[in-house]
Amino acid sequence: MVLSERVKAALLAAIVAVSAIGLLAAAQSLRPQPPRLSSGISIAMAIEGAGWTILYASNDTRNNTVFLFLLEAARTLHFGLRWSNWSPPYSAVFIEAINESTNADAGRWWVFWVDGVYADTAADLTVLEGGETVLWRFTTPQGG
Amino acid sequence: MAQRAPGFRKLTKLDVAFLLILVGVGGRLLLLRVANVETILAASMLAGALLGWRYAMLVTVAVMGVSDAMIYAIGYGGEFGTTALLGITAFTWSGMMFAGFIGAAAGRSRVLFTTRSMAVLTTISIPATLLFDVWTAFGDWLFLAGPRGVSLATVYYLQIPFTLIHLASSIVFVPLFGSIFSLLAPAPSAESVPEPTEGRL
Repeated sequence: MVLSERVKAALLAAIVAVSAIGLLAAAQSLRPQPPRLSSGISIAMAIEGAGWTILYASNDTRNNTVFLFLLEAARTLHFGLRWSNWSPPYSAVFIEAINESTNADAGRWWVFWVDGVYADTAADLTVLEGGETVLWRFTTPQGG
Repeated sequence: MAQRAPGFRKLTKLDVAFLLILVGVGGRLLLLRVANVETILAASMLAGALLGWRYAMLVTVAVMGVSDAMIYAIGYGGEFGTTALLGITAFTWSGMMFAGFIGAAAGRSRVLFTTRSMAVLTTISIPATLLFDVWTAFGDWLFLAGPRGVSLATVYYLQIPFTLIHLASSIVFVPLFGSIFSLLAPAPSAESVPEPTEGRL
């Protein structure tokens, strides 16, 4: 059976569309998902800004990502927080300012560690199990 | 009998290269906030496939140079530091060159405005994307993650969802722009057929 060029083009378009949707769905399935907690967990956080430090801890929080816990700290202690969102298909937040210390001021940027380990995912994709200490530091780029 | 040249195949190679640069730069800037969805790989590959490896280099350097300058000028990437940024730039530019050369190798058998050609280009965009991602993730580890204590295996593991998105981006943009540009590109030069001479067999 010989297919016309138009039919072949439609088939190619269909294959491309199905494959692209499948790839995006697979990427979404690999996105870290924080579990819904039935009881609170304990997390501690230190935020070292430009000449100031904020300490915050909770023994009963259900905000189990670094970003959610930072939001909780900002809400509880009344300090400012600014972030931007990366769009889907792999959305993530990027922290731009905490308590008036804004990225790129004097070449410093916000980065964070969990239990002393440098974070390699975005704050909203870093899931906390309980018992961790999060450190946010406003610092010049390190390494490289 | 004189053959009539199709009216739409009238752009020069330089015209097509310029349009590909616009697609690459415009797509990158418009999709800046969408991780790993980009038009540069398609532009580089198509430059190679339709115009040859020299144009693949020209388009890649122009797209990366212009878009990197604009992106860094508005403050992106500052958190990485100058050394890391230069290192990552070397990996991304060379990675896109690879894609252009892969396109050029594929284009040697002539890319035409046919479904078959688009299917071939789309298929070839898959290893080109994988090669780019493996290469640039290594650069990321070398200049960013490695010095901060993250292992290469972790970097590659974390790269997987981004590579899946990048593959989706490539298999959509390569045939989409490929169809448009194969229509606009100069017709591949045909082998000259010797004129029949007078005589008898």
